[in-house]
Amino acid sequence: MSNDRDKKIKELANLNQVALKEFEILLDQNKDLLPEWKQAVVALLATSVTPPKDIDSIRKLLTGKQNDQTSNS
Amino acid sequence: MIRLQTLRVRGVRGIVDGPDLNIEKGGVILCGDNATGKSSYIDAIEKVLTNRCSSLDDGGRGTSWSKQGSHINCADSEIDLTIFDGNKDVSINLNTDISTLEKQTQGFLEAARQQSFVLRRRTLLDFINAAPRQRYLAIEYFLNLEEYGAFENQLKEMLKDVDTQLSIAESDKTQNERTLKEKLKLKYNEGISDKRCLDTVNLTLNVAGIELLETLENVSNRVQKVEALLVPFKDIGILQKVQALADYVKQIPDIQNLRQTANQYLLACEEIIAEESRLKGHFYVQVLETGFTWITEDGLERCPLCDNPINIADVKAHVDARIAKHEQFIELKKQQAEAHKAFLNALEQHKHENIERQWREAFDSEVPEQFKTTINHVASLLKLHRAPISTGEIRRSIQDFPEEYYLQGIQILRDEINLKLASFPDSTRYAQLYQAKSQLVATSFHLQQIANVTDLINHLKICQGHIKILVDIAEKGRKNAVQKLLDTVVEVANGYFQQIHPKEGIGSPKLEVPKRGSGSIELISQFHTEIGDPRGHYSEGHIDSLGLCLFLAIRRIHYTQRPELSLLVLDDVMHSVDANHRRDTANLIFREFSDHQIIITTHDPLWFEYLKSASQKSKHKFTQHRIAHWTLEHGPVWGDHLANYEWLISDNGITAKPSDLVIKAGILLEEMLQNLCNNLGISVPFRIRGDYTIGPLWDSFFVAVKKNEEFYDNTKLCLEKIEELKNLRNWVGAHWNEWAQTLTQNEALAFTGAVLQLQNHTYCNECSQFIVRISELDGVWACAQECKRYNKKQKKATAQGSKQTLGWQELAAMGIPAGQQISRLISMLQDEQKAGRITTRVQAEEFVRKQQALRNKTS
Repeated sequence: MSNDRDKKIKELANLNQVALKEFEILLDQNKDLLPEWKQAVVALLATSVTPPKDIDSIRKLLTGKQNDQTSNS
Repeated sequence: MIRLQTLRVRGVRGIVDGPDLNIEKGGVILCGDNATGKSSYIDAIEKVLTNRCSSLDDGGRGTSWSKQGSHINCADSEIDLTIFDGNKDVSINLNTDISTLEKQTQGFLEAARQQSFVLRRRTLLDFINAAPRQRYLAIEYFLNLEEYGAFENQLKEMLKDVDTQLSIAESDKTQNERTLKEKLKLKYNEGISDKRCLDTVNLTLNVAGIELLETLENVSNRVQKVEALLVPFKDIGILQKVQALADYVKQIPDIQNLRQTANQYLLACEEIIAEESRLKGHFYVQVLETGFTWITEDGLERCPLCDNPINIADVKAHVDARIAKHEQFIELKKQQAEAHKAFLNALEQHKHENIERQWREAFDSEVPEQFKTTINHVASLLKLHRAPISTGEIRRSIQDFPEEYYLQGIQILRDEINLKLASFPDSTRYAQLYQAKSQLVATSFHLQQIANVTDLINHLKICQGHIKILVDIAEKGRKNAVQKLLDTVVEVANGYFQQIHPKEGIGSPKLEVPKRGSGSIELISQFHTEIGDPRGHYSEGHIDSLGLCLFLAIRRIHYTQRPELSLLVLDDVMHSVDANHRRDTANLIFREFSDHQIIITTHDPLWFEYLKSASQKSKHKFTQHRIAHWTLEHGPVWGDHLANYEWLISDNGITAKPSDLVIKAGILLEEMLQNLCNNLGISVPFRIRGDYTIGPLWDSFFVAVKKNEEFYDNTKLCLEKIEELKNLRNWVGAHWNEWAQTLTQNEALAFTGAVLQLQNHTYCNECSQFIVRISELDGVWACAQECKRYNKKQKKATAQGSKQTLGWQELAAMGIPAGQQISRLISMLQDEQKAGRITTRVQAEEFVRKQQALRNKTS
């Protein structure tokens, strides 16, 4: 087996990390996300060794406005 | 590195009780016809390692291990697998708790549960034939994307939450708009706007004479004003009840109607009495008609009472005449019934059933006594007249009715109701104010609600858009990663494929994850100038090869992911591949997976030989077994030469009946000849059924071996003995006859000894193979490492096969007991000859005598 092929196979040994890397690349390329959303996701990924198990920082962006609404009413 | 060592199976699938499978370091090569229990061993290995069995538990076929895992005659299944963890043996069975095992063994079993190491022909074809989505699902189990999948699923769950919240908010908005439109009396399809609401509310305020609104901000101020104007109407609920009572009293029917119907009823009753008096007696028309029907239907010829003869026509004429005579009476009866019904209906209209309750609610007191007495009287009249009473009673009851008193009671009600109504303010005014307040409050509340919920909807839509983007990115990320993996899989697979099909213009498979959809895999491959679905152009053999190479590539990558699992199991995967490609496939498997323990089953004896041959190049030994046959009662039975050889030299063989010895030795000889004719390239007469038995094989073999001088010199004695006695096998085994019953122990031992001697000359235990013809060495016959080697031309006596060797017969003739002792002595003699310590027959005989003396002394 060639060294190149061996290297490729080894790189794919942890497919979770490969998928997460792909996610980060696509996230970086995306122009449609609002800055606060992008920041939340980037911060989330930065603190994750493995793919994130807790995505509450994104959920806060979803519920934050609703909480404001509740308090207003 | 963990290796499988021994597999003991009881009551599993086609296995009743063994035989046990001893697994060498290299692995196992198992050959047997279809339905002889090969796959049962694979099922057992998969089940005990992974707690699942892919041939049964994959769903969709209604099969499961719990239903079909046990042998149909066995209540319980037992699987005991001994593995060697590098230091010691570890036993695993179906009840083993993984958490109690050492970390290394745990890792091995966890990897087995996560990864692909078993390939069956069905799995291979399923993968090729599956729809793209199914193909993805088939491979998803082995992608090891659990952690990333959990992340992606969380995002998808969040998107679902947002969708649900959005749906609720939009429904809430619609409900508020609908309620507001109802309050403002707007059309259903009319849009809601502040101006439209303001105009509508101002119209209502204008009617009520209240200052108009300039903007909707002053709504609360107007609400306060309207509420102040409504204070005098605080008892408006009572007013509504009094009004309802007034409406009811207005509708009480005239008493004249009651009086009239009562008199008509009385008159009808009196007329009936008068007619009855005229007719002198009662008359029942129904009795006459019914009696006549009975007489006609029963066809009576005599009267049942007086026994006089009956003429049906006379009876009918008599009945008709009587009815005609009473026509007037019948008519009066009908009129009376109608008058009775009309009178009862009139009484019902003066019953006033609910008036007492309504009065109590409106006036908070009981209904006036005079009226109450009258309605009680009406109730008693109704009860009286529903039952049949005499005309006198009817007359009296009508005369006694207190008509004037009743009319006065109704008037009292009217007076009190009018008095109460006069005490309330203007109800029209109340309606105007009430509507003004209702519209003001509704406009204020619902417009605010609509504004809030619209704000929420806008926020949720933004969130929905962003989460959709994240889900999309997550999916693309996964697909990109999977595609990278698949690209590598196909690159590795193509490397394998080209080793089997070099320069054939096919291969270059591609597994593609389409960008659309949540997960599917397209399979395409090259066929000369065409690129597309391999099933379009590939032969069955090519498809088998492609499926196998893809699986091997996945196994290779999984091994990188989890190197603790170095096991490859191929269950009868080669069906349609031709001989040359099968040889290449066998070589590929043992070359590329020399770092794996390999377990292969096949139904094909030729591929079995190729596999055995290819496995010789491995640094490790392989267990090789051929399953002779299978029965429901006993399961699989080993039928390979080693098993027969072991049996013949065992205690069982030593004490066996002569006929059994000959049968076993015959089976061993037959398989030896099949292997040797194949390995040495000896031409045999073609048999279309492929049943190459001793007869045709031996004749060709016996002629051919004479051309190899060295081999013939070494084996001449045993060959001639076999030539002399070879028909024993046929007589005893296939054509049992009287002659066979006279078979002597000496004849059986002579035949068996000769066969065992031939086995010793042709089979190398070190290389686990029969000798083969090596064309590059001028037709030398030798095993892989040339432990046994025979030159075509005799040069000199070799250590292994020289004339100095003492054979089975010579040792038997020296009084050595048959069986293990002879085998052991032959082996020891060979070692001595190899070491050069024995070079003559005399030395050999001397050595044997010494060994026997030593043995006798010891025993």
